Amino acid sequence: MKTNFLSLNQINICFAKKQILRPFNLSIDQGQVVAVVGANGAGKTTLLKIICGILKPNSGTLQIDGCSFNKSHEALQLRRMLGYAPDVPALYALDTIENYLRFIAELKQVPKAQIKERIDHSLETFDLTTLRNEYIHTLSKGMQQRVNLAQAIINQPQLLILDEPVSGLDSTQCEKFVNYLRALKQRGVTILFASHNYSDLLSLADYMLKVSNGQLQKIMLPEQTKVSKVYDTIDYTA
Amino acid sequence: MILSITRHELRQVFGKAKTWYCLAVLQALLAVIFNWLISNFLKNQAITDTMHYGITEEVLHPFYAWFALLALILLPMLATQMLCAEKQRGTIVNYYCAPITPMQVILGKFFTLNILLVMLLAYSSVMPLSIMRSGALDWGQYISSLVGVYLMLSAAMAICLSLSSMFANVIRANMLILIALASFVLLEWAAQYTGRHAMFLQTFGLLKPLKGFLAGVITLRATAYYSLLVLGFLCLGSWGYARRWQ
Repeated sequence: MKTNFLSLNQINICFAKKQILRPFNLSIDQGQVVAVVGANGAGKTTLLKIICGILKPNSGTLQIDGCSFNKSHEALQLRRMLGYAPDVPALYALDTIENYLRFIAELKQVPKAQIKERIDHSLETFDLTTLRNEYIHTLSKGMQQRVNLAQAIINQPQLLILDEPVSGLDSTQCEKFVNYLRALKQRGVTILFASHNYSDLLSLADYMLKVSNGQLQKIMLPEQTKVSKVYDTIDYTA
Repeated sequence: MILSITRHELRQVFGKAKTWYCLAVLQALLAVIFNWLISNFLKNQAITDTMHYGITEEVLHPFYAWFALLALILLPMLATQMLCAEKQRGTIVNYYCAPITPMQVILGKFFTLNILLVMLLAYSSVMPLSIMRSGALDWGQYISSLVGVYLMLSAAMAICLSLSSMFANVIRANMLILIALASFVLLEWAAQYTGRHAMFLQTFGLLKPLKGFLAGVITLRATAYYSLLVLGFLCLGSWGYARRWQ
């Protein structure tokens, strides 16, 4: 497992003269699972978007496996190893689930010979196999969230970034998803997630990053049994 | 990659009822115009024995001028749906997170618009072909008109797409696109009143080079002008798409 797989140095981000995140350093090793916590509007989604390369920080450097988004050829390489599930699913209402996943697989440059197999795997993982020909606009919120998660894993990413991944999922799906993430962790996939439903996901995390007042604070989770206690001690109003 | 984007966009465009309504309205308007032009031609023919121009010049020339004008209204709406509406809906994230270059995205969307344009031209060209039943069609003028309209509308689509890439609000983008296209037309109109600067202003018009094509003359200058517009605005569109990084 590589150390400093993901490193952010002196990252600083402002929107309309308002400082969202003050300069900070962060490094995450390969295979680690990190939970990003914080109050609404604290900057969790912004942090995840910076790591995905969707937003550019005002200053500082971001490196994933030695590559940076600033160099175009490295940016393309980075996006190949990245899976991102946004908080609001970016789905095309007029597509069927299968067509949408095929399109995403093609965009992510999954080899043609593997596309069908990857779609089947993604559909199976999220119990969508029987719904593959359903139009996305006919799906419930929870099902759309499952499609959103299915597209994030279609390219077998090395870095998986999930924004509110269990929002809208029922308890069975949630449990299944946590088990799937656990399997990914064992395979060395680095995972970052922001969620409000920590009771299900915190057991996976190696540590938490608390975002408050534009600052990042690392909170260790020494024993999984104490997870709920740690969770209770976080002040979300800060 | 570009083909994947084009295929996807075509699915999106033809999946909407709005597109079919627009195409139906456009075809209906063109049918009315064509009927009106043919009626005028037949009326004039009955009055005078000797016509100055043939049926191609009298009917086909104005028909494609109308076609270009109507398509100029329809295409900006489709162009904004391609990029700007994706930003508004948030689905642009799919492209941002994919290992593709901005130019590939722009080209994929531009080809979709091109396929639509070719389809529009193909099904609208059946009406002028019906002239062959009652008179001799000037094939040279017919083909040059098709080429001219295609090139002019391609340039217009590239302009629309590049402007659409710079906005995240569909209404704002549509307004700016209409202003930009109107400016190109107004430049030519203003050129009539500017004396010695007329040539300079006309150079930047969209419709002036089309007049040559509609008259049956394909010039290298006009072809190069439209091609350069396409190239220039596609590059601008690519820059606009990638601007989120600045």
